[in-house]
Amino acid sequence: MRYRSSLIAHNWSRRRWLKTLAALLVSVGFINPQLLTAQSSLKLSHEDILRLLVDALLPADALTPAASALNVHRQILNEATQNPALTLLISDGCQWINQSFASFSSFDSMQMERLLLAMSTADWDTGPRNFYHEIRDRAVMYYYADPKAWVGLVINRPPQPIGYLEVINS
Amino acid sequence: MSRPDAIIIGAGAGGAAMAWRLTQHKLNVLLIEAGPRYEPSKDYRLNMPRWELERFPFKPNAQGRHSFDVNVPLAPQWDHLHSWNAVAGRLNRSGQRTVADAGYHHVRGVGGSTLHYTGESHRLHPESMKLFSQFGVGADWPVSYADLEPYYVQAEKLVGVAGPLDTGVRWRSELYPLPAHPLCMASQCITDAAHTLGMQWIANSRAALSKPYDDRPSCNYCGNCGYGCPIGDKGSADVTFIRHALASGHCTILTDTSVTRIISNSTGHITGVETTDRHKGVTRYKAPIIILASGAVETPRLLLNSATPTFNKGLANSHGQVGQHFMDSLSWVSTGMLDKSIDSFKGLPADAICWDYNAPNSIPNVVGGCRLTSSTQEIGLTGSVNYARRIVPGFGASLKQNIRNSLGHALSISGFAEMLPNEETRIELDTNQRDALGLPLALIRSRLTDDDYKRLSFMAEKTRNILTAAGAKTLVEEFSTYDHFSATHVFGSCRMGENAKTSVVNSFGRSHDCNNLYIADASIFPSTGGGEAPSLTIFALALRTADHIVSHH
Repeated sequence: MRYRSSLIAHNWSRRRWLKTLAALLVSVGFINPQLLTAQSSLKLSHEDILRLLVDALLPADALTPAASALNVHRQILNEATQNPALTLLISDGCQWINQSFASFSSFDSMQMERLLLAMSTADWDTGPRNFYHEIRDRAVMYYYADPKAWVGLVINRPPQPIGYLEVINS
Repeated sequence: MSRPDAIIIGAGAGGAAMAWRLTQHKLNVLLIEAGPRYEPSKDYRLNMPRWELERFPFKPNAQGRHSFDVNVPLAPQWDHLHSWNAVAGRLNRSGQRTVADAGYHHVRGVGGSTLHYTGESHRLHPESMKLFSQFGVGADWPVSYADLEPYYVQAEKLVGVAGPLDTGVRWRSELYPLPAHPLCMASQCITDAAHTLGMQWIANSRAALSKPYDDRPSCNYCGNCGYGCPIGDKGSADVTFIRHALASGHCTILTDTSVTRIISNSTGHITGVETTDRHKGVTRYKAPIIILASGAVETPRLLLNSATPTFNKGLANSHGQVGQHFMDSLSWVSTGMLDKSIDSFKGLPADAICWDYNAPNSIPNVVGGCRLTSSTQEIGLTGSVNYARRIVPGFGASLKQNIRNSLGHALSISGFAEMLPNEETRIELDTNQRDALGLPLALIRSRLTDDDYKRLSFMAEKTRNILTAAGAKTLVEEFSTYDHFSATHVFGSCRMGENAKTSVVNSFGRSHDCNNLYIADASIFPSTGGGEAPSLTIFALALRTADHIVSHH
């Protein structure tokens, strides 16, 4: 049995990016619709936007670091250099954030959570939902592949060379 | 090696078993493999932090390219069979059946797909070999279970199969060479729950060593056979048949070498093979016997690509049977989440099995059985990466806490079922898509029928019921071949039979058209069986064919 590893399938038009999530964000009371058309004078880089997103997805806590401390955002960008579809998705997604949220870099945790919630529950026929899904998928993949993220987990080492011989006695 | 006595094309299950047996008879064998050689302790990365990302390491040349024709609209009345998980929701939103990842999941290399197989070692249900005569569907095997039984024994000894004392309808002339493995906690949980529903689950027969055997160590239950076994206890063909064939001094292996044509004369006699390299050009190898063992996709492709003016439809294809009767994998898996941890990431994958519905008449209103298997480790729920990517949704602090709270709680059950041949499912050449050497790719065309959906529905119902009985309050993932083409087992595209008009080879795998051409892979299976893993039967058939070759040439 083998599984699909990625859902990237479409190139999203800018119009669809803007139209779909704008309505959604307004509907959940997240943002004033007038702000959606505001142009930010300060554009964040792709790396900065991904850093903010992965840290919202996987923040630091008492046991484990935030995702950016494990270079998760840079690993995603590095993967994108070999993956044209991912490159395009990141480009479109970051452009959408830059154009939609003038103050994205200063979002507090509540604002960021509401944005992620809106993205994660948007229709699959929208760019933001796909952007969320693909970034989340890679963020958790690179994060939990790092032993620094394993503190507090029952699986805290690779399966070899020790294996789990205790199953013989269980 | 001077001129070999036999050339084997493909070093997977069939080619490896064939090579071993021929070398035991002192024949000199040239084994030509399109993929690379793997070094288990070096290539498999289960001891590395990024083991979940590495998965099975596909080296250069380790996967072939294929073309697919599977994108037919999904039948809405069977929509309850769609694939989904708690993170992504529905996995196929296209409305059509689509290809999942590589689609045809295989490995090119010394050992072939046994390198990444779980290692279930199943004998076929005897009744599933007589589908046409007993049920009027599919085709009968021209060999019986009794014909194969001594070769099953031989293969089990070479591989080192660990299995239970309970043999059911699969009578045995000897016990398994090794005792069954202990059930992991997940399988014990499934077994107990299924028992309350009146089902019997037993230890699965596994190509993994329960004790040291044949200079190989016993399994340490790491749970990740599918990513490649670094310690060598898994009975993949490279550490079993191939190792012993090489030790005989009668076997030479060419790796990373693609056979691009089988050379025949005007009478249908095969004189050798051609390999083509972009740098070295064409090389010819000659031998009196040629054995094709490239699997149910590449074997028909090579025959069709070996057409000549005399055999303009392809070799061994005078009746247009090459590529017909193809059958792929009909599979289902459900995963639920338990309230408490049972350390379900630990233990031997697929260590427990239910054969209750394996006979061809076990599923109501349809011919063809299935089997159910404990599959939590087999489907990769053995680490935090896959939990987070697939079955633990959300983000933020709650996601991290939920990962901590859920590892070891997942419980998965899978089912594999009979797939009967249908006229729309076959292997062809795709003349519009070619490989790097300019040869047409194999076009895999697959369609499901209502009977296939019924078998999937049956497996879905059974797995869901068991999970509920086991205490899983929520399902978190289901995956099926209803909406994805995802084939680990492929069969039938060069069917064996006694009638040359309806089959490609006879009961010993010899071509009806070319008397020194043999096939030794699952392409010759007339039927799939009721979900049994095919590797042991491929081994057994190859051993039987090898003995036939020695006694008749």
